[in-house]
Amino acid sequence: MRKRSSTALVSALISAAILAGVASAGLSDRWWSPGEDRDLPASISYENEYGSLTILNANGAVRTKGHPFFEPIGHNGRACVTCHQPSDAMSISVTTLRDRWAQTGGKDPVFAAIDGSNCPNLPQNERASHSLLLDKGLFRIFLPWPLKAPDGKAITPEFTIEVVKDPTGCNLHPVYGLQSKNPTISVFRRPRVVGNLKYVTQVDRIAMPFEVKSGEPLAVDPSTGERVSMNIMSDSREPTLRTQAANAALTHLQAHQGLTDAQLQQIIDFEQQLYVAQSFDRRAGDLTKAEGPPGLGPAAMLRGTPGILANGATNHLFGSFEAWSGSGADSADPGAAFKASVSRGAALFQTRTIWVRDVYNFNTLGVGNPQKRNCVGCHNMSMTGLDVAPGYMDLGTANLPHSEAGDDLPLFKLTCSPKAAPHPYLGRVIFTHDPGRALVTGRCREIGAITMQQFRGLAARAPYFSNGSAATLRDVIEIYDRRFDMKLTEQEIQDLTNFMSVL
Amino acid sequence: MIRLSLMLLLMINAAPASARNLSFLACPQLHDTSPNCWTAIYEGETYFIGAQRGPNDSYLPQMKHQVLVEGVVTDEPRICGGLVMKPLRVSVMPELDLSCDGPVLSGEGLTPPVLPARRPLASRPRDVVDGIGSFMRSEPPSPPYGVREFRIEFDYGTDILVDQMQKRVVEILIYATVSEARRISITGYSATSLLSNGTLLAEAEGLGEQRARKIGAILSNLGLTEPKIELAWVEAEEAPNGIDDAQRRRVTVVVTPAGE
Ligand code: HEC
Ligand code: HEC
Repeated sequence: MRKRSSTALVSALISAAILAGVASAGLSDRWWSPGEDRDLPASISYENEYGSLTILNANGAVRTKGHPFFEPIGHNGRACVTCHQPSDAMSISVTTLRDRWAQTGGKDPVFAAIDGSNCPNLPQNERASHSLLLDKGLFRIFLPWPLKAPDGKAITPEFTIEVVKDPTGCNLHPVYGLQSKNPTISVFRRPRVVGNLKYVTQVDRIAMPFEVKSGEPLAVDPSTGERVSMNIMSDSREPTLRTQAANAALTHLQAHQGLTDAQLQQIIDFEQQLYVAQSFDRRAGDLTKAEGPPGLGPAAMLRGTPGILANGATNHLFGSFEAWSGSGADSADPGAAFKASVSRGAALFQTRTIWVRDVYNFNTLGVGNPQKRNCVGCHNMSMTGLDVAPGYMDLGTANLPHSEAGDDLPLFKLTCSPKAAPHPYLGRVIFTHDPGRALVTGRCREIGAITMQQFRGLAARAPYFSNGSAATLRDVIEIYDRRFDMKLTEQEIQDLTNFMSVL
Repeated sequence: MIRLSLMLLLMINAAPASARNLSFLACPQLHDTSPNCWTAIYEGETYFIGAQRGPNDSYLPQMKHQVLVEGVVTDEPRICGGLVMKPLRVSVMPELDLSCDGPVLSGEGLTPPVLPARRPLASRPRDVVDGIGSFMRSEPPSPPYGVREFRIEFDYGTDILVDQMQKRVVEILIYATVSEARRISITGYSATSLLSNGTLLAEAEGLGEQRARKIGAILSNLGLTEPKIELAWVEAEEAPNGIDDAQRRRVTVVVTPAGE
C-alpha cells in the first residue's frame, strides 16, 4: 500500500482540492510582502510537506492595502505578515526563510538587523550573521534586564545573570548586551501562530480569578481590568492581543510611533477572525470530509468552543478519530493504513503512559513528582493542545541538563538568592538558554518555564519548540522519548508523528 | 479564633485512644500500584502518605525533596504497606535534596487505596465543574453579617496558596463584598514544628510577614480596595507541640462589616 503510484497520489490531491472548492496558491505567490494590494480570500490553501493547510477568514476576504497587519508601518520595511505568513500557518517555517534568503540575496526585510540577525552589529550581508534564523527559524527577542513591571516600576529579580557562552555576541556586546547603557538580554524564539486565537485568549474559567498554578491572581487586561488567559507569547508576557500588537510594532517593525487605537483594533479584528489548520493530507486525502474525524480543518476550529478540558476517556482532544480507526481493513482506500496510524496516534496522545518527572509547574502542582500521565495531561485544551490554565512549564527545552538546543544559542548561568524559593528540581544555580517566564517575574523557580503553543498547522511551520530545538515532528516525539524515558516503539513514534501532521 | 482552636481540640480528642501524633522528615517512596501510592519510612515503620488521583488533603510528595509528614496514626488497615494517618499533612520541603531521588518501586503485593469513582468530566466548559469560577457565581452568604474570621493554611516553608486555599480567599472576597466590609485585619504567622524525635524545625524568619503581605496584595488585586486593610505578623512565637503545628502555618483574616 505504501508503494501506491504517484499518479494516484496526484489525482487524489487534485480531486480533493476540487471537492474542497478552495483557492490553492502555487509556490510563486506564497510570499506576502508588506504593502501589497491584494485580497486575502475568505479561504486560501497552501501546500506543505505533508499536504496542505487552509486559512479561513471567518468574516470574509480582507484587502491588504492600508491594513496595518499588512502595511510596512515601521522603519525596516516589515509588516506583521512578514513573520506571520498565511502559507506557514501564520507563523514562518525555516524552509520559507531559506527560500526567501536565496530569492532576495538576504535583502528581504524579514532579515532586518534588529531581530532578524544574530545581533544588529554583525555584517548584515553575510549568511553567518543570520544563522539562527536560517538554521532554526529563530528571531532575537530582546528584553530589558533587570525587568520592569507593567507600571514601569523596577522589580528586584531573585537571581543574577552571567553569560557563559555568547555565540551571537549580542549578550556581551557593549551596545546591545547585558552590560550596556540599556541593559538587555537577548534570547532566540520561534514566531507563534496568529490564528485560532479565541482558544489562546480564553481565560481559565475553573480557577478564575486565580492562576491556579502559582496561587496568585491572573494578570489583567490593562485597559479593561478583566482577567486574561496568560497564554500569549512563550513567556506569557503580553496580557492581551492589543498590548502584544502595540509592542510588536515598536520592536519587530521598528515603528517610531505607536499604532493608533484604530490600527490596533483593525489588527485585533483581523487576528480574531483567522482560523488555521491542515486541511488536506497527501496520504489521507481531504481531511475535512463529513464522514472523517470531526476535529480537523479550519472550519472545525471556527465551530469549536474554547477552554474545554479534554480528558482521555470521554472528551477527545481533537475530536474522535473513530472514523479512521478501522481504516486498516479497507483496502479500497489507498490512505487506509495512514489513517489507521493517525487514529492510533490520537489514542496514544491521550493514553500512552509517561512518567512525567521534574517539570516545574506540572509536578509541583500537587500531583507528585514523578506523576504517571500522558500527553493530554499537559496539552489539555480541546481543539488546540494548549493548557486550559496558563501553560508555562519547565519541560526541559530551555534549561540544562535536558535542553537539546545546541551550541548556537547563548547560555546563561543564573544564580538565585539564598532567600528565594529555589527552582524545585535545579536548585539555585541554573544553566539555561532562555530563562523564559523568569524574565517576566524575576522568580528563581520559574527559570526556563516556557508557555506552550497550540498544535494547529504544525505541518506548515517546522521547527518546533520555542527555541526550535526539534527540527521535525518526529524529532519532537523523540525528544519526549528521551526526556521521559518513554521507551516508545517505532510504531508508536510513527503514529504520534502522523497524528501531529494532520492537525 | 477561640472557636477554631476549640474545633481543633475536638478533632484531636475524637481520635481513638491508640492514636499517636507523629511528625517526621523523610524521603518519599513511590510505588507503581494503580493508583500509584506514596509511602515514607520512619524508624523502621512504613506510612502511607498519598495516592495519585486523590482525594488527598495535601499536595503529593516530590522526588528530589524531603517531605515533612505531620499527622495522627490510626488503626485502619494498611494502604500500600503503610500505616494510615488521619488527619495527615504532607509538606514538600522547599530545598532540593538529591539524596531523595529514587526510582518508581514495584507495586507488587501492595494494596493500593480504593478511590471513590471518578466523576466523569463531561465535555463541558471547565467552569461548570466545581471550580472557583462557579463558586464565585454561587449564592453569596445572606445577612446578618457579623465579624468573621477566616483561616488560610500553608505548607511548610512556603507562601504559595494551594487550590483549596485559593477558594478560601475567594470566600473572603465574597464575604467582604456582600457585607460591605470596612476593615480587614490580616495576620500572618510562621511556625515551628516539633518533630517526634525532638528536633525543632523552624520556618524561615520573615515568612509570617511574607504570608500576610501576600494575602493583602491578593485581596486588593482582586478588588478589595475600599475596606481598610491592616497587616500584622507573628514570627514563630507560638510554642510547637508536635500536635497541631501544621495548623499554625497560617494567615488569619478578620472581616469587619460596615456597622460593626
Ligand atoms: C520579525 C518577526 C515578527 C514580526 C514582524 C511580528 N511578529 Fe508576531 N511574533 C514573532 C515572534 C518571534 C513571536 C513569539 C515571541 C515570544 O514568544 O516571545 C511572535 C508572537 C506573536 C503573537 C503571539 C501568538 C501566541 O499564540 O502566543 C501574536 C498574536 C503576534 N506575534 C502578532 C503580531 C502582530 C500583530 C505583528 C505586527 C504588529 C507581529 N506579530 C509582527 C515574530 C514577529
Ligand atoms: C509535562 C507537560 C507536558 C507533557 C506531558 C507533554 N508536553 Fe508537549 N509541550 C509542553 C510544553 C511546556 C511545551 C512548550 C515547550 C517549548 O516550546 O519550549 C510543549 C510543546 C510541545 C510541542 C511543540 C509545539 C510547537 O508549536 O512548537 C509539541 C508538538 C508537543 N509538545 C507534543 C507533545 C506530545 C506528542 C506529548 C506526549 C508524548 C507531549 N507534548 C507531552 C508540555 C508537555
